[in-house]
Order: sequence, then structure tokens, then C-alpha cells
Amino acid sequence: MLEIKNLHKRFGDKEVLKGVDLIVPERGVYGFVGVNGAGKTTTMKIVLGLLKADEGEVKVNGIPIAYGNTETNKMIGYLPDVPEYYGYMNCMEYLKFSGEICGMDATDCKRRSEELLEMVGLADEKHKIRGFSRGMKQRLGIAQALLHRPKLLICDEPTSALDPVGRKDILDVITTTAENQDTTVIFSTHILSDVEHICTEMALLNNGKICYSGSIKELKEMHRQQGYIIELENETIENPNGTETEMRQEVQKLLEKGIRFKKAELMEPSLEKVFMEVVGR
Amino acid sequence: MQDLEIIAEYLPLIIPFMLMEMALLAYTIWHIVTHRNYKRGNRVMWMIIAIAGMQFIGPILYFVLGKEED
Amino acid sequence: MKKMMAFIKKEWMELKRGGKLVVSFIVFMLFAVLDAGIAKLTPVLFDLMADELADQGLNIIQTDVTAAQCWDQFNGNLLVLFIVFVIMFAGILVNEYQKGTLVLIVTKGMPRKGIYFAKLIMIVAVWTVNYAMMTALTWFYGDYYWDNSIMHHMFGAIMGIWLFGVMLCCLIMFFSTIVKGMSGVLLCIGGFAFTCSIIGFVPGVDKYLPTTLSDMMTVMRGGADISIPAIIICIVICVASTIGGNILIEKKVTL
Repeated sequence: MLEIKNLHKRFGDKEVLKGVDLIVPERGVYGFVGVNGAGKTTTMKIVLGLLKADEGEVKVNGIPIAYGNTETNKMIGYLPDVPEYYGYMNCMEYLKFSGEICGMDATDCKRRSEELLEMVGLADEKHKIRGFSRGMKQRLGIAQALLHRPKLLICDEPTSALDPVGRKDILDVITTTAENQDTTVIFSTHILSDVEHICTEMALLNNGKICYSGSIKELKEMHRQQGYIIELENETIENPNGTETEMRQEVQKLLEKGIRFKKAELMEPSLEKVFMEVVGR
Repeated sequence: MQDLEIIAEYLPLIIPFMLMEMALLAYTIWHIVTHRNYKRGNRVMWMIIAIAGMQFIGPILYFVLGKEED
Repeated sequence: MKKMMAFIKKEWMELKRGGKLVVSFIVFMLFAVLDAGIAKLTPVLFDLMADELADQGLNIIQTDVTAAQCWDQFNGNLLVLFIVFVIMFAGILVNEYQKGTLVLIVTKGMPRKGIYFAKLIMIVAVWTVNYAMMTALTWFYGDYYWDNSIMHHMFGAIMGIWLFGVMLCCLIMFFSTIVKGMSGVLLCIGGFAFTCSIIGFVPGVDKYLPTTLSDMMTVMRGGADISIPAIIICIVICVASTIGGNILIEKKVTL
């Protein structure tokens, strides 16, 4: 769906992207993870044609993109972290305007707008956008991004400015989008729990390069840690190198001795830990 | 009779002037009523300023100091 | 073209709902009425003051008010009008950068040139309609109270002022692609006017300056012809700034 090859970009003397290679397969939600300043937004802006790459190639659905060329934008929907609208319009007016910019047929645009507003839960909102909360703006953001039925939806940290409730709403909407709308979603974020929730595959961007891409499961598998924890009433036994068999034996011993314990747990690698490890911090 | 003649002479100037005042006042009131938030102050305050403010001054004060930016 | 029309429609809605359309119309109309009103009231004011001044030993020789006084007012107040107009519309493009409202529109395939021209067309249209109304009103008063036929080069003079206004619109758009905020645009326009007035100190250079077009008093009174070089330079500035602005907006990194 999206193919990025050897992408370079520098701002002044700061090299932000040092050869990014990435292939995003069709369908599903693809996580794009990196710390703040890793170059996520820069990469996305190049894909959107808002920035010019110094070097490298980007293809969307097999068609190469060029700066300023808006042809490929027909296939892409974009949802920024804090989308800004014209406050004096209401949802339908904004979507109508967006549809005209995309070159959509007026009746089709109207039908599609109603359908999308229904999906994001803004169907009955008749107020001007001026008074919207961030969460509402983000939901309208999804509606406007999907208006022209894009093949690719790029979400740039869509949840980072939201409260927990708003975050869950947006994640749910994104998941349903990927399931029902025949759209590939790229989901950029630095919040790892979001990625774990909704993505099957992901790429890790660090220091201007992709340091991992593939399924989340495999990534965790690769960095599977040995070790277990057993919590007793008032102490914990921790064995960072112990295997599962060792834990079983330990538990057996405790049971034989009649010592009560609260829980015994094999260390499951959290994405956070894996992330830290890969990033090297 | 002379007074009337003088007024009649200035009528072409007075009428548009008053029309503008009324239009601006009506527009300002409409704007105040259709907006919930203002840069500063509240609805009652701006209504009083717009209506009581001498001629053009009240409405202009509202648009300069009170109108919320979109 | 279709996209630009959609954007023009959006600009129209913005000016309408933001109150700029109504307010600018009323301001222009107010200027026209005040210009004629002040000219008309001049003898009355003189009469009122004459007695007082006569007591102090000053004698005022009353001159008849003609259409010339009315157009003098018209010309004299143009500077203030231009300042009001520029302040009102200086933010038309930069406000969108600052809020980031263009990002979604551009990523939907709106060409940047289209945005530039839609906005330029919109402010030129607002200027043209308001200015036409204001001139027509002044013309009406000139004929109603006095007689416009004593004036000279009226059509040319009025068109010259219009052209100067169009140039201001072009400059607002051009400077908007360089600076970040509305104050920057105001500063640039101010700087432009200041530079013109500095150059104006050189004797004989007046007829080349576009600012000559903003004051047609001497021309209307028959004291001079309209300066053709100033018109040509004004048009050149319009075209050059529009071309330059289009190149710069394509290169602009932060929308």
C-alpha cells in the first residue's frame, strides 16, 4: 500500500530522516511508533506532499508521490494530532467544502457525510465547530479524512491530545474504520498501549531510521525475557533468568512447605520494555 | 418653516447616516445574540454598550474588543 | 478552477460570518457621507465661528463651497480609509497559517495557487465593490449639492485610486507569503509606504511613485495630469508581487 525507500530529510544541519525504509501492507491498522522528535511527523508530511524529501522514493498504491503534486492525495486521508477547522462552519458545511475540494459529486458527498457523521457520532451536532471540544474535533477529523474514500488513512498521533475517554472513542472508530471501510490505516503514536490495542503490525522509528518492522507478536517474541516473579504474603521472589520449569519447581516447593503465595507470574515482555530495549535507553 | 428647509437640505446626508447606524446596531445585536462566548465581558454588558454607546462607538467597541476570534 | 470556486465560496462565507463584509461596507459608506457632510457644513461652521473670531479682530473671508471641497475631503480621508482597509484584511492569509486550517485543505488536493488567487480575488472584489459604492455616493452628493462638472480628469483619477487599492491587495497577499503574522504584513505595507515617501523627497521622482495614485487632489482640480509612469509601475508591482507570491507559497514549508 505504502512503500518508502531510503528517505532522507534534513532541516538546516539537523538530519531528521537518515534513510527510512518501510513497506506498509494492505488492510489493517499499521502502527508507526517512535519517541517525540524521531521523525514520524516529518515522514508523514513527506508522504502527504507537504514537505519535500531530500532523497528517496515514496509510492502510494504503486504511484510515486512528488512534492506539490496532489494527485496521490486523492488516495490519502489525513488526520493530524490537532486538526483545525473554520470555526464559523458546522460539520455538514465543512464536509461539503471538503467534498468540493476533493472534486466529489454533491449528492454523493452529502450521503457520504451523513454516513460518516453517523459513524463518528456527530450526526446530531448542529452547532458551529467553534464550540467543539478536542475529542469532537478529532472525530470530525476522521469523518473529513474518510470523506473521499481514501485507500490510505494517515493518523498522526490522533490520541495524544485527548483525555482517556476521548482516546478510547477515537481508537474504537479507527478500528471499525479499518474493518469496514476498505482502508489501510497508518497510526503514528508514542503511546504504546494504543498500538498494542489496535495494531497487528508496526514499525519502530528511532533516530531517523526504522529499527524494526513486522508484527507486534514477533517483536515481543524476539525480546522474550526469561524470568519469573512469585509474590508471597510479605516478600517477593524474583528470578530474572529463571525458566518456566524452574518456576514450576519453585511453586511446587512452596506448596509442599504450605507457604501461601499471592501470585506466580512468568515475565511477559511489555511493549514498553521492548521499545526501550530497541531504542537503547 | 426655515428650520424645516434646513433639515430638508441635510436630509440626504442624515438618512444614510442613520441607516448605517441602525444597520450596524442591528448587525451588532444579532452578532452578540448568536455568539455564546466573547473575548471579554458577557452578553448583557455588550448589549448595553452596543445600544447605549453613542452612535457608532458601541458597536465598534464590540467588534474590536468583544468579538471572539474564530 | 472548480476547487478555486469552492475556496472563493468559503472565503465569502468567512467574510460574511466574520462580519468583515458588513463592517467594511458601512465604513466605506460612512466615509462618503462624512466627506460630503464636512464639505457641506464648512460654511455653517465658519458662520458659527465668525462672530467669535470677529470679536478677536479676525475677519474670515468666506469662500463658496464647491464640489471641489467635497472631493478634497474624499481625497484627504483616503489615507485613513486605506489604513482601515489594510488592517481589516491583512490577516486574510496569515491567520490561516497561524491556526493551521490550510493543512487539511491542502492535503485534500487544494492547489496552493488556488488558495492564493481565491483570496486575492476576494479582497480585490471587496475593495472594488466598496470603493465603487463610495465613489458613486460622493459623486451623487457632488451633483446634488454642487456641480461635479467643474472637476477635471474624474474618471482617470477615480480609476487611479482604484488601481492603488488593487496594488495594496496584491501586496497584502505577497507579504503574507513571507511573514508569519498579521503584524508582519502591516509592518511590510507600512515599510513600503515609508520607502515610497522617502524616495518621494528626490525632486521629480514623484510621477514614478505608485503612491502618487493615492492622492488625486491636484489632478481633480485640474492642476496636473495623471502620471502614466506611476500607473505602469503600479501595474508592474501588482503583477510582480502576484508572481512572486505564487512562487513563495509553493515553497512555504509550514502551512
